Amino acid sequence: MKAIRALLYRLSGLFDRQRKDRELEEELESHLRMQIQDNIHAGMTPEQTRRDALIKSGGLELAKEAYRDRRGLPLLETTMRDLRHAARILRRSPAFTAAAVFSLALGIGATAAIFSVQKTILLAPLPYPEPDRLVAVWQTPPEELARQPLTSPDYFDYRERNRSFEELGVQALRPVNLSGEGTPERVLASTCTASFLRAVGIEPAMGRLFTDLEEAQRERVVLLGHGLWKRRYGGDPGVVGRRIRVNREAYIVVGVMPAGYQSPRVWKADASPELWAPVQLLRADSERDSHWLAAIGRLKRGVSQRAAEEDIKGIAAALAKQYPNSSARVSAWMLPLKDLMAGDVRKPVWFLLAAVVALLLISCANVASIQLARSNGRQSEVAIRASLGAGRTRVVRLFLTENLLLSGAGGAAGVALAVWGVATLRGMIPATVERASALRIDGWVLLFAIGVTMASGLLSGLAPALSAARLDINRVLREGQGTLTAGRKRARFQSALVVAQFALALVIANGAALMMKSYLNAVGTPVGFDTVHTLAISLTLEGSAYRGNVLAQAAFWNRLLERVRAIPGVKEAGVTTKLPLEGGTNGSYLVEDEKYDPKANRPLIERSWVTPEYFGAMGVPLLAGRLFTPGSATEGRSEIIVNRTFAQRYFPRGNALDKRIYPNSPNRDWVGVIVGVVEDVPQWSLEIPPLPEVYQPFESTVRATRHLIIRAAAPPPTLSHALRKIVASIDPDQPVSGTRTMEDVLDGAGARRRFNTVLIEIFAVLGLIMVIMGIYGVISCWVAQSTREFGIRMALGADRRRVVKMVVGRGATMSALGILIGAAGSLALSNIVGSMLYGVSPTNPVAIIGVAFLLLLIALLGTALPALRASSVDPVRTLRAR
Amino acid sequence: MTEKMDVWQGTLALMVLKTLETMGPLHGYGIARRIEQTSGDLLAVRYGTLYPALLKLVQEGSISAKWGISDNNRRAKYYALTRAGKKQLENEARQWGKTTAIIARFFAPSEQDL
Repeated sequence: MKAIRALLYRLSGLFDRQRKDRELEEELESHLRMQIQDNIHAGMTPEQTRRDALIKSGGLELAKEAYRDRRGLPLLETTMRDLRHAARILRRSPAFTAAAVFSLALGIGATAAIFSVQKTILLAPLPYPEPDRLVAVWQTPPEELARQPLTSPDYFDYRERNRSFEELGVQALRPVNLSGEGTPERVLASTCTASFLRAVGIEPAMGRLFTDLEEAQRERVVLLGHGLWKRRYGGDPGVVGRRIRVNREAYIVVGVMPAGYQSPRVWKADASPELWAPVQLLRADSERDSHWLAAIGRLKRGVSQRAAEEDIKGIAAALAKQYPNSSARVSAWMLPLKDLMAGDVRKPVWFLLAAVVALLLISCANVASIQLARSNGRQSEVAIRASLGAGRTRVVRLFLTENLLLSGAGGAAGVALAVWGVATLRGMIPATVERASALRIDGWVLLFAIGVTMASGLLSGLAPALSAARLDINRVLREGQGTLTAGRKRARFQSALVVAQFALALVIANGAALMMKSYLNAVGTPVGFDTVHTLAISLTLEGSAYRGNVLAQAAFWNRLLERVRAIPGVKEAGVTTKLPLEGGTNGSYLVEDEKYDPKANRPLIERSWVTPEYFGAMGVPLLAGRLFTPGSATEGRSEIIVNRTFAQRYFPRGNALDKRIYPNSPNRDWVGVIVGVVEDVPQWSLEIPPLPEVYQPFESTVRATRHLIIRAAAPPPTLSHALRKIVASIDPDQPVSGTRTMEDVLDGAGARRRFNTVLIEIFAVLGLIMVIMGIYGVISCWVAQSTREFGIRMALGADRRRVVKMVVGRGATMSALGILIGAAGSLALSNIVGSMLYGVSPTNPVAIIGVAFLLLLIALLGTALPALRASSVDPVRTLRAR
Repeated sequence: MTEKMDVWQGTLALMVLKTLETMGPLHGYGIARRIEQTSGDLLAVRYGTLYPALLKLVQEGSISAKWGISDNNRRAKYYALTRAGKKQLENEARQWGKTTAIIARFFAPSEQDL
């Protein structure tokens, strides 16, 4: 209490100092006079009295000083004074200051921006209640950790037998058509169990979740996403209880989810569903080999993940014994939802953060060497301060204050830069990255930026401050300049900074070069299809008229294809059940003589159903055999086409045609006969090599969603409108959406890698800019200090070429040393970087040598100007100047 | 003339409070004189120590300061004990008494020694 009161008093002591000084003066003066008065009474002479009074009371000025210290807050006051002084000093050399602030702003800004990415995407808890209890449950062959979805009977068994979960639920995403109000629309729906929604634990903003009973009785109830409710139903406050048309059937809206709610994303390519409806599950044992359900569980309080996994594995083992034909090779495992959702972005984000910290270090080194150079010109100031009684700590404090001011300015500019950068990043981050939309600069990021600012101020200020404090005052005052050894020490330190900068820059630039090469490799992978003028339109046929009705579906597609082909400019049109690069369906087959064995591990084979024109429309070349002919699929027998990888894996001697495949089941009730081999198309990503694939005739499956592929002569956008009209004329309730060119699809597939690559490229370029500033600053400082030396050398007969060589040689030595260290560092880090690369080795010599040359070039650029300046020294003038 | 001791900071505050309690409101010079006299002229109170100490007591609220007119018609700053100061004085006096008593026991010849 007393201390607080005193502090407030002292704070107020900072103001109105003049009046308070006058009062003190008066008080002391009256003290003195009273003393004199007493002395006179005691019989001293007037001259004696004053002298005696002064001696008795102690030095007047000293007393004032002690009093002032007590009155205000001396620490704060000197700091303010130091700040004012620092601001004056910084203003005096605007170029230096601007360079330093610029460096720091880039370093701090980039660091803060990437930290905000890391915080939002990796560190922030998932937006669900008690997210640490949420796990994803997968099935897998026992010896791997594959992410295989659950089958529906297995889900029921897991749910009933487990002792670890409070809730266990499953969902499957599928597009649905909304009609009834305005234009028909295709949206992504999550068909899920009621337990799935309860496991996630989010309550609806309006209405209620659907119930187990509604799910079991197959009630047509639906929950709307907030965005969909606003967009399509005008934010109708009475929407709960309203009937809407989903897949042409009436569903009753039971609730609206809160704004911003996102379903847990189980596969990275998943988009966010906007609608939730009960999933229809069968418990028949015949379903035990149909894996299609993504499972999310909420652990009971106090149950560890390990215990839960043991539990679920035990159940799977029991089921494997019970149903050997379908489940002999099915085990289960789980992954915390947090790890699952952040999993594939964690590494790139850490990688970027490391790059950005290296960038920050480069910028600090820049500022340190700028400050060292500047402190050189201030030796006499420091010497005078020291001779007037400023201690070492005082001098160090003075310099640190200056650096903190500098880094404060840099930090402020950096935060502004980060705000702008984060806004840009938000637009750049691929949509499939979890929680990217929540990216922003918040209090924590700001706090982090302030911390980084302080740290970089101290880091970059320590060396100049200590060097100033160690100054030999006598020498400086006598000779008017610092000692040669001090200068040499400083020069050596500056050179070390440049070496460190080059080393760091090489590491970043090498990483950037490798990432760039990986990106080019990824997008340069031959995709086996044409992107130019190829349009993909996704359509989902739903509703009682189409469901399970092969004829109705075929009739729709045939009419559509017929009319589309009649559009002028359309060269070819076909239909497929899945698009390249967007995953799809797979399963296993028995090829030729392979015998069914539930314990054997058969590789997964991709499956598509296409019309024969698909290959032409997509531009996938036929390598051998022929395409489907009409009537190529009958009950129990079908012509099939395989891709190159399939043909090479199973028939390495190139005789795939006319070979047979069967379903991987005990009874061979179906046979596929290979009639053609086509070129590979990447199925899951640009970076996963093509897997074996089987194409079957379009008519042999009933699938709601298909993609119309059109190859056009004209630029595709004009087609879109014509297409909508055609679809509306065939079926006015049928929505058309997702009209993309295959170029868009390809773009989407490269988006993540492009994002990482662009960022690291930017950091590398910033790093190089700072390095060039750094070496330029240090070399020109050295040239300025060595003017006399050059003058003497030239007077003794050295020609200009020799001087230029000397200066450039110095820069080259420093950079070469830095490059060597950086190269060693890059090699040491190659393991970490390696996992981020594609198609290029982390120790790729071309990259490292190329980057080394680039850095040497930069060193040359940075030294060229100072070298010219050195060579134009006039020996006579410089020698006479001393 | 014997060497005079400088007052130690810690005890000066206590002396000032005690002085103000006995003498009532007093100016800085008066306080200094009074302390010197009370000490039998063994202590010297310099203004470099006195005025900061007074300021500290003012800041802590133990004493108050007001400009007034001295006996010989000069403007002088008068310091007076506040209620908080009185309490502080009581506490510290008690504390001081205890401390000195304890220290004294260490230095007093014990009965066994006699």
